[in-house]
Amino acid sequence: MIRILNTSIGYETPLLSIQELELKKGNTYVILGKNGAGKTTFLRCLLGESSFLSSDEISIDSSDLRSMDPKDKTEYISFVSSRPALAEYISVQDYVSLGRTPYLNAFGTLRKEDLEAVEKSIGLCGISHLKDRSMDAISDGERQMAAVAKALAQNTPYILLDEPTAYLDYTNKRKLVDQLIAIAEKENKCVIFTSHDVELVLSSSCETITILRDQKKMILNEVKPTLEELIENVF
Amino acid sequence: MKRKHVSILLIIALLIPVAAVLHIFTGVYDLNFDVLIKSLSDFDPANSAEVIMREIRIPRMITAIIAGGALSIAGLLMQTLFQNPLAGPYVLGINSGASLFVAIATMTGLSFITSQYGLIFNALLGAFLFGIVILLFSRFSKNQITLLLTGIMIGSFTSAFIAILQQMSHMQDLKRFTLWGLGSLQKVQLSDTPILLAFFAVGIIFSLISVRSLNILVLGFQEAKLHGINTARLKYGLIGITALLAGIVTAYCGPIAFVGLAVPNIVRIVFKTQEHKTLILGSVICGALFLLLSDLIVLLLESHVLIPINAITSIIGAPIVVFILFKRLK
Repeated sequence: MIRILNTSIGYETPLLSIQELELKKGNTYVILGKNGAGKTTFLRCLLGESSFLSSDEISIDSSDLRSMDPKDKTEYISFVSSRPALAEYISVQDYVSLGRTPYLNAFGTLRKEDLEAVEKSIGLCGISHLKDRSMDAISDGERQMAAVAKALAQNTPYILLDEPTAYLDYTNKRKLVDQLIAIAEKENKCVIFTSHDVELVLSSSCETITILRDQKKMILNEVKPTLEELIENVF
Repeated sequence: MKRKHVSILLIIALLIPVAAVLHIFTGVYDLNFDVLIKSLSDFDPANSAEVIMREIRIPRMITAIIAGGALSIAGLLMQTLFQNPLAGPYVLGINSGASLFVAIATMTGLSFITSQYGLIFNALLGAFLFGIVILLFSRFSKNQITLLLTGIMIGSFTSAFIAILQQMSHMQDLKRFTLWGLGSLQKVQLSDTPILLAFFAVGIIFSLISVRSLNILVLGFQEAKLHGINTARLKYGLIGITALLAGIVTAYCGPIAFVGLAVPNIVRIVFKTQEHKTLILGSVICGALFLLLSDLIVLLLESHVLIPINAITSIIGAPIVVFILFKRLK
């Protein structure tokens, strides 16, 4: 479980505060907030790319996240950006294999268990038919699924995604969100993602985390808010 | 490594002994296989044919293999580090650093740096310092072209300094430096080859133990960090290996253009992979073959005209680079 208590997030001045937030495995959480509210900054803080301004507690499976070694963190958290980084001459399978990087020796040799993890991740994301295709020869939706498969291959209990639906058409957005929810349940992962696709996520079974516009507070909604409530309090 | 890649590597590797044999028996003087055997097993210093074989042909062939392989790995590491297919020790000014420091060593007359090892040390130091400079510039440049232009500007900047040094130097020193600057594989003696080989081996070993980091670095520094790579250490490590490889070759052979730039790109096109174990071994093998064949052209033309190796590598390499420029940066 990720547990956050009395925490302030921002750069020089606070962007948002969190009184109490507990994010559990098996669940998929979507963070909703207007542009600049601090959604991505929150993810970057969890990844260690930005610092929390102040906090009473930020723990991940009872370990203090702030003092955690970056290498150790790779065993807890994996990340998928809105536009996965690309390179020429890299197949889907090789791309997903890169998720195993923290577990490999210096020579980058993939062992049997690494190959099995890669195969399983590709299967879970439904892209087995694409594994020999080049990453620059598949669609944006397929590429996003390959990035999710890479995160799965990293075999971390927590997967963070920054606007994974941003560049996808409606069908692919729906497919991706449904697949994230299914993976979280099936693999007992905690999936946290940011999104602007309000109607899409409201119609899914994701848990919602909202950043209240006026109070600048991040809260976990016990009851899923309506679109009207979001427009009034969040956007 | 994939089986298909191993097969291609083996096939290309088998071409090296063929090219090496052709290389060793090509030249103004006709030498046969007997001379080769005798020069190695029962060397007679009074026999001019054996002297030519042992002191000129063999070291030159070994140097071509080592220099080609070393420059190609250096280019590959730079291309991955800067995520730029047009990066290379020559283009980014690392060779310029080595050249400038060799120029200082050759033309200032300071005895402690003009000795043979002083020259090597200077080339390595120059390559490393200029590597750090381009690394610092890369922090402020998100654009591939800006970084390349910066490298070219560094090259011009050092050329200006070298020109000033040339104006102020003695005729003898100037001649020595000018000959060195043309680039040649024939200045290396048999007694120098163990040093070259040692640096080359160290470069290959350090490159191979960076494979895990290099593979993920293809996706950028953020991805590398998120996968537990210490990117600061990696950057300086890669600059260090590049300086070691490009510096030692530059010290002994002078600046050789386009090998480090063209070969890794050819290897990527042939193997269609970003897996660096394949790319490193492919660069070593293809680089060695590329420079052996380039020098073979020099030797074939030797009886008619003396062409510096740099001219041949540029004639072959430049069109390849233009092709890559149009294909990948359009």
